[in-house]
Amino acid sequence: MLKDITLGQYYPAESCIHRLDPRIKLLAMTLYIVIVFLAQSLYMFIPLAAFVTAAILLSKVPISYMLKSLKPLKWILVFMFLLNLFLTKSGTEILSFWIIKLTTGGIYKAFFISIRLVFLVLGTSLLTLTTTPILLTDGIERIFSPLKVIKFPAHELAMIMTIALRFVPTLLEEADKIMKAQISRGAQIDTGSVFKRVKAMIPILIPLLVGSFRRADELAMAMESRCYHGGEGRTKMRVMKLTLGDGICTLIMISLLAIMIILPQIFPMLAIMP
Amino acid sequence: MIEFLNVTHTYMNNSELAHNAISDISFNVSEGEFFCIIGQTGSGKSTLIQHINGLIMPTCGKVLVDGFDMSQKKQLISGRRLVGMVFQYPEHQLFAETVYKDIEFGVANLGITGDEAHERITSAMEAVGLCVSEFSEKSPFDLSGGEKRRVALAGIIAMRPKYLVLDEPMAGLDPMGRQSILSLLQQLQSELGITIIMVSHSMDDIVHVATRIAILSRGKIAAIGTPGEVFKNCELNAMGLKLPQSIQLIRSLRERGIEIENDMLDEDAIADELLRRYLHA
Repeated sequence: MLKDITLGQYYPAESCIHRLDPRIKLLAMTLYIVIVFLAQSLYMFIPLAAFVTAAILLSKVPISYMLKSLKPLKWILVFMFLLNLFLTKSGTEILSFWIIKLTTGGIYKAFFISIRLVFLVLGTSLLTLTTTPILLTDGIERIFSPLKVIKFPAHELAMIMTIALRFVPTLLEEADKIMKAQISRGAQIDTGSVFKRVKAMIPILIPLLVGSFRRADELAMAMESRCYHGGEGRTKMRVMKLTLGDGICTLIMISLLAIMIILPQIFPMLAIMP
Repeated sequence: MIEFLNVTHTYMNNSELAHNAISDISFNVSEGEFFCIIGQTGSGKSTLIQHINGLIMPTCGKVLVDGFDMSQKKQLISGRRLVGMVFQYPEHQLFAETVYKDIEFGVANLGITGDEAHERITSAMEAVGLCVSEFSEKSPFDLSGGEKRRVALAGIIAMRPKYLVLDEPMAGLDPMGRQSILSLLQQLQSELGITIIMVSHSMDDIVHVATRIAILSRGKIAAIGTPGEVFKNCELNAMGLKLPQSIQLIRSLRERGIEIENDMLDEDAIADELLRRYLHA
């Protein structure tokens, strides 16, 4: 029932993108988001599109898999598109009906905003598709560790994230089991009025809550009996080392940033919205 | 009668991760049987039994419970009423404030109220050995592990299913607890005529209670029959299963020249038999 939900959508493959250091990938993604917002016209998306296409091809993640990450976004996309289409009032008017006015500026902006959103999602899902959640949290910990000086709990935060991610499949499995158990005791989960359905959730939610407390208790005990005492003085099993690939990636990101800043300076027409 | 007709179940169908949990399984369980399904972890036992209650639908094939096709929505509801399902660690599904209310949940879902419900709940509690006056108003979360399991079992028994399906009901219990659950199940089968279908991975637990055994290996039935037939003909070691200790004992006695004809004696009976021969010699 709940088995089909995929969370932490890592796609296992051997590629240069997969091998990149998670710290570099995280920073590159942050820079990428800035770059996407630097693009001020449809033309400026061309170098961006070239970059994203190259990155996807290099990552060996199938295009169909990438497009799946856009699926949960479809209603937001449609909403944003329509909102911009009808609420932007610039350029020449094409259609006017009652209070609805369709303008060329509106059409342009609707496409512009939607494409920007698609770029944002594609880029960020490339990060989660090519990095395991564990490496990701490890990377976050390392990036934030300089902040430990001001008592920022980088390690603890990363540990909380790791544990949360670790227990998502476990809790899903448990929820599935409890649901099945209550269904076979005659619980009707998917029929009846809204009120009835909410009430029908109680026999599922209470055991799930009790179960997660039980697991938390067991985990805390297990960690404590292995002398876990937080981040201080703790060594890493996986030591992260920057490689040549990470250097190249950094260079590519910086040149992309440069291109996006310089291009509109040289060709001012590229930056202008019609 | 429960019938499995060429049932195949594929997880993650239509994706690269697709794999058959069970493939092309056919067998029948008749009324009044104590049917045990044995297999290693990952052999598809749990998947198999969830089909009996329509919690999982077969990818191919059919499951019939008293003739109701469990993949047809309308027949599924009628079929489900006949089958009681006890999952692994059933105590994890308790939720109500009191033991009484938790057992009442299933009964109420069947639409039974009033005196009949009360009668069913109290008799189910007695059947599993929980004192009605002592436990009724207790919170299920205050009980010990073994007691919780009894409450969960009572919750199913109170629904008076014709077929009782259990997934490793003895897992995580001490030897005493295992024995008492086992004799409870035997009692349900012989006195109330409930058909029992039980999954286990321990031969010792089931060899003396089962009327028939099915051995599941890699999603296929490797052997099926009475315990005697199965142990005689089947290479259990190859499937990662151990012979019951009583049978191992009989075989090693045989290697040493002591012939015991009846393969199905339990440890006590073997001891009696040896003692009898010793005294006669």
